[in-house]
Amino acid sequence: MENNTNTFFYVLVVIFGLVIISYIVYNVIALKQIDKFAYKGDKTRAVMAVYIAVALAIISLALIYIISIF
Amino acid sequence: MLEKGDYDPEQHSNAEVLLFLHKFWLAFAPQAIVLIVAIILPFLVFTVLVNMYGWQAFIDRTITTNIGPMFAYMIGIFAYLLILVNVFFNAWVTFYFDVVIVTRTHLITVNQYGFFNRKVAEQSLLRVQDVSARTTGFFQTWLRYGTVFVETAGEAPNFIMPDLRNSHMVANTILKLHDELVSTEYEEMAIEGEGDLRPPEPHYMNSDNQPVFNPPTKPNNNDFSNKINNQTQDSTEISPKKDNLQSLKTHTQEIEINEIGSFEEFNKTNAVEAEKREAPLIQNQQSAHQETQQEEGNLKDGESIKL
Repeated sequence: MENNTNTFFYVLVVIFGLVIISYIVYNVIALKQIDKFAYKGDKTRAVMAVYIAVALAIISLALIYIISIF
Repeated sequence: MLEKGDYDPEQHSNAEVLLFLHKFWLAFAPQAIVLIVAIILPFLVFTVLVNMYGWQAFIDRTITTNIGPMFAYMIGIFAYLLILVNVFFNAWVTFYFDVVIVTRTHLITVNQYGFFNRKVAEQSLLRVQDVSARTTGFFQTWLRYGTVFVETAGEAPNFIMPDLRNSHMVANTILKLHDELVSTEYEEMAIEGEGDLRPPEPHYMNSDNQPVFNPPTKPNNNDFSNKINNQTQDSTEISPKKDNLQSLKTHTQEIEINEIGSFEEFNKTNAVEAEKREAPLIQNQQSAHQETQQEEGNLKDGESIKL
């Protein structure tokens, strides 16, 4: 029973890790693209900064949670 | 980053930007509300689960019966939040990068669909045929925003620009710029000799308050060449292009013919002038022929011939 739970736990961690990595790659490309279309003096960079901060906060919380489980 | 005159990284327009318009913020409000509710929802579910199973179920790995579902739930929540934040940002980019730019000569609309899909449409204001603005509903009327429709000539697609603040003002501005551009175009065509397509303005109003076009002028053959010169000088002052001087002279001559209204008189004048021009030639020919005759001994001294 405990072995099954551990396997499930590790599978979830690996899947989540892949999701996080692809998410980061996708967003880095997207943000670079969006930055090209930004106009001087508009709100684009401010909103991008908030978006990056929120995304990093969620990823950090997830990592802290996973580490705390180990 | 782009200057506001550069609406696309590949295109750098030097035209003066008169209007640079984003969508009105209220157009983004419905999406924002839905996304905020979607973000709050998993936290509500989390609170319910904590009340049911307690904190220990989420963090204690020794409780083997609960670790699987709770851990999966938590990982799912994080993934869900990340995707939701991404969707939120995607929606904001789609909203914020939909831009309408009006320059003195062109109308440019930028439509952004997500991160990697962008459409830039540009249309000369000369091709604009009809401009209208529509406000529908309570919020649009109250906050003065709406949709601007620009119909263009030919097969070019019409422009529909939704959710613009002060939509009626935008429509008026586009129409005014179109009129100015058309007027300028007519003037340029007139200077280049292609003819002014505007309806003619009357020279004066007569006693019956009726417009008078092309008042009659009295022909005066003696002053004909002077008139042409005067007209040419006047025309040159209007047109700064010296290259067109010859064409202007011809043009002025034609105008003069029309004003005189008689080709016969013009032909007479031309004949007199041609005679004057050719007189020295005829004299030369006469003297040359005389010399030849004298050399051949056919003429006596003091005798001359007439051609």
